[in-house]
Amino acid sequence: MNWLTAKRWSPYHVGILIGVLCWIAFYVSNSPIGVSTAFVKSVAMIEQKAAPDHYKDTAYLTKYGTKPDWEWMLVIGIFAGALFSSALSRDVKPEIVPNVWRGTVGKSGAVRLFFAFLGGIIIMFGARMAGGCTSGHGISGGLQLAVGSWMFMGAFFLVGIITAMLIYRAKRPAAQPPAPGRPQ
Amino acid sequence: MLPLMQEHPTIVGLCIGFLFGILLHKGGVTKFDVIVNQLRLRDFTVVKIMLTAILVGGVGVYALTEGNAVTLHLKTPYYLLAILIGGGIFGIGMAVLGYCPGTGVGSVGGGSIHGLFGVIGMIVGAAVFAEAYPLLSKWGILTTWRLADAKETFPQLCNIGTWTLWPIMAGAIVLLFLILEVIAPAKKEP
Repeated sequence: MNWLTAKRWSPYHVGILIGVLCWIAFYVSNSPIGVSTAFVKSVAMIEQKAAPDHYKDTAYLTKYGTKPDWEWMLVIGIFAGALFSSALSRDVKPEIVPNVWRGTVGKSGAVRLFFAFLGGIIIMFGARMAGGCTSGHGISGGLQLAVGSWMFMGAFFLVGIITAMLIYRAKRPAAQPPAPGRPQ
Repeated sequence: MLPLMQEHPTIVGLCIGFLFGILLHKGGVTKFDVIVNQLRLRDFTVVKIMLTAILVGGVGVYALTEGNAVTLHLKTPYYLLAILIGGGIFGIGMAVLGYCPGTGVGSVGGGSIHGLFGVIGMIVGAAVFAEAYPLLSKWGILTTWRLADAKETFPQLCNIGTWTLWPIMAGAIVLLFLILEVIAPAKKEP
């Protein structure tokens, strides 16, 4: 069962299996895999309890409703599956400052946590404006050869690359992944 | 499985998500370093996974549509201005957060505390968008440059047969992979 406890699989094997999972989602559930909609639903669920009058007035939320459906449960499943896989391969470790951040931006945990939170706000705002994320537009839209989804991918890759190149400039060798071909 | 879907769609969703979560972890993409190093063009794991999934997923799904076993589920209507601006914003967020929504959720399963802060941020971001939605609609940003209904996929837009396009796509993707394997070989960690 080495493969189950392995920390990493070949990206090509993983890609093939994700593709197969997409067949299953379409065939069995008549629905493409997507993640960002579940976040809108979560907001709807929270606001309906915490601020019901405001919830009723917010058309964007009432449009999605508060019922935990297939899409919402899928995201819960992602957490559970990743936890399961991480635990099996002894790959669970509390992390506040990842390596690349430490080697480029700095080692302050507070700074990292702040920017992670801010990054989360920004990425989801962008996802909802575009109508999907790397799963919904990228994989599901991409495999359906949807023009809009490929344009989404082009836009986020281009801007993401520029932004990352600006933010993550190596200060120390820890930031560099090992050169290809050399043993680790 | 099909009766299970009718009776308990939430359980089916949970299971599919569970498998997806395993694959995201095994692929290495629930790790900040992997995603950010993709954006720094030093590690092409993300691109390898996504394009393989698109190729395998797409050929299979389109084959299933030929047999009328499935239909496509497009995000009609596509408003390209919102897609481009939203995509750009998404790119900034992905660079700063170092995860996408799915991998961010997955990262929490691996103990990423900054990932958890990111997920909380994503909930806030969705709430902020819900508040901004009426204003953005009023400004017309969300309803500009609409793609014609019959031109939403590349086969439709370019007037090219699906089964002419897929071999071309496959060839281009495989060629890209060959180039990437020379510049940045996939490495399997122990």
